[in-house]
Amino acid sequence: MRFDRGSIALVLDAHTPFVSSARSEATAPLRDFFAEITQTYLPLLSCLDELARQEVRYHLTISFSPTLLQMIGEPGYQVAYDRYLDEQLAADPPTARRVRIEEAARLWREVYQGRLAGGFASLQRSGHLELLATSATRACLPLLAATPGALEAQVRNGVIEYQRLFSATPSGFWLPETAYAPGLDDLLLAEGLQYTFVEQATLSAADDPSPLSVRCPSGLRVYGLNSTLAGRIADNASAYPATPVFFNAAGRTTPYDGGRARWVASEQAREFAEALQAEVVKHGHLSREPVICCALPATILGTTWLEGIDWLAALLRATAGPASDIRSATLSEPQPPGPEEKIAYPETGARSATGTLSDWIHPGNDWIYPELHHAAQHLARGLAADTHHRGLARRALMQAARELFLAQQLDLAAGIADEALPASQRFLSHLTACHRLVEQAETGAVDSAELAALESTDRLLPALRPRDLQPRRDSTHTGAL
Amino acid sequence: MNMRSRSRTFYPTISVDKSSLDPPALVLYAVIVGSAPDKQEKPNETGAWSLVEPFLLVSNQLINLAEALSDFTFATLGSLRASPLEPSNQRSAASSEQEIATANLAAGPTDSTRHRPGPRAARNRVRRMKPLPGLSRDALPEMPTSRQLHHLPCGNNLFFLWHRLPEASSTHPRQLREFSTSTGAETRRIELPHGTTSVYLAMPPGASKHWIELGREVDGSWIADSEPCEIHASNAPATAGTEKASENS
Repeated sequence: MRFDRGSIALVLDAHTPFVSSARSEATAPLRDFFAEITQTYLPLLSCLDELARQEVRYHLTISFSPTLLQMIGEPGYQVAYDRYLDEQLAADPPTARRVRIEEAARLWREVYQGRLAGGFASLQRSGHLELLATSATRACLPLLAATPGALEAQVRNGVIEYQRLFSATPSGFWLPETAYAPGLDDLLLAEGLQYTFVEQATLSAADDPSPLSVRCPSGLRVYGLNSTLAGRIADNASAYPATPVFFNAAGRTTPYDGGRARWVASEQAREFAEALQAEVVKHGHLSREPVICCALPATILGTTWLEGIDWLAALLRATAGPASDIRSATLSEPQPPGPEEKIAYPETGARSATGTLSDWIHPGNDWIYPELHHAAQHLARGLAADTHHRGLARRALMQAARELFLAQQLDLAAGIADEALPASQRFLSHLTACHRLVEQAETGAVDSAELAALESTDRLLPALRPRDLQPRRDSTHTGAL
Repeated sequence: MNMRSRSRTFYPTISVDKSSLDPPALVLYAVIVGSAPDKQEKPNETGAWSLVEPFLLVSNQLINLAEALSDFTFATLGSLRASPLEPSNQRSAASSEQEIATANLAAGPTDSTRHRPGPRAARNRVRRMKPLPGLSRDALPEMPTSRQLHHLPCGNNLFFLWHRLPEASSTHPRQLREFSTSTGAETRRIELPHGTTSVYLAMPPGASKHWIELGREVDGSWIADSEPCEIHASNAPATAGTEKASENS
């Protein structure tokens, strides 16, 4: 039997690096984050809500990093965002941008009242969205493998944050930058997760030249992400967002015409569906309807490409129609192993130009990994010594863990590799704070003023408990990576 | 650098936070501040006070001092960009931002006949000496020594290995030995430059797993400095970990 019908699992990767609340709202990283709320997250939620109200039967998968959710939900950032909206409106932006900002202000203040995570969770409950868990602070997980406990803590606390923020149990996990190494599958399964995604090229290295997915010997399903389809939107100078009718397109020579731009975006959605159909036909020999997976950074839609949300809406409408051979899908439903399903481990790799982890580890930044290992060991000793886990010592150790989590962000590794001084300083600042707090807890001389200051500026993982940092698995198996 | 006149005498001043300077930069600062060019008291033919001459004087003094400081063990930025598979030192290869900044100043020919750079080049050099604010890697506590080898996968069968073994003697350089786990035979031996604490290691094509060990050869006998470490190909998980439970956090 040959299939010419199939599904697309479209995945949006939503992340922002953590910005300390001590920094003023005028800093560039925080303004970038606020711009993303305005141009991507609020319009996206509103668009998905509207489609659901119109009873469009769509399915979409989104991964929200805990750092992003923490910042969106934190009152301090919310007040700063309110001010940002006022400043933006006062700056008299171009009409298209102004319309977007006014709409964002209305959605933020009147419709969602700052509760974005709740809005997305509600769409998950109604069956439209599948929300993925991801690591606690977007670490490059294979590069924590030398310290299995730290690796495990990143995954487990990502899952715990998911449960806290979405009041649900995740079945899928988003590997930051799709960085995978054999052995991670065991870890994800131990946390109750059923599937994840890697770059399709890391699957293609196996015997089958182009499998859509494999099942690891442990049982975890691993889906390959189609880079051809993603390339139509991202990573390409001739991708859809560069079409010179769009607001942000560099080559636009005529005055912006919003109606025409939206029409072009919907035509591109139709073209994307046709390309998808071609991919389905290519894999139509499989024993069941093929599911093509395609991932995009969420901020391409809206922030990079102002009309991207219109493109998404058009695509979801097109794949929801009864006449469409392609439907949108999520992957949470357990699938029985098919006769052709390959049992294999994907290759070690990640989303990068080379397909390796070289963007996050090379001679320009590799010194950070022994330091991260050292700090994790120091923290483990502190936790083991503090058996009562009470009072100031416990608070100091939990904050030390937060500082370590923050130092593990791959955004910092990438920034250090680029010789960016702020990244280097932030890394050192988090790691020295971690060591200092553990030392203070060990000696019983916790500096309560410093601790309170760090708790106030580096606020994340508020529900962190000592037991969430204890290794659960037998270390003879966690050394797999 | 601000140049200001006071009673027909130029006093070059530099706006810096002296508390943030590391010792070599502090020495440079003292030289610059102390080099008020009293000889430059006369206006030039246009009646304006020359700014270039005192600037050149100061910049040449900077260059001379940089030469004098060349006894410091500076690494160039290029050494930090060594290609994978080449051993890369950690702390011994100056890699903190201060060291890079100073290395840029110190780089270049040191013979006395070399061309003196003009004002623009000198200004660029001075800019690179700008002290960096905040923390350096020295703020991190020293790592304890251990017989443990650690490794991380980089993809494409490339691995990053590091250790914190005690310093090896320079007479018996440390070597990395690789063994086949199936036959036990030594498959590769690499001599590590003195002070090397990390290395990128490519697995041989087709190999699924190997043992790695660091040690020295003394009088024809192999002395193991580290515990052996098992490394697996990029698409194969280990069956048993090489990390101890105490390594977990």
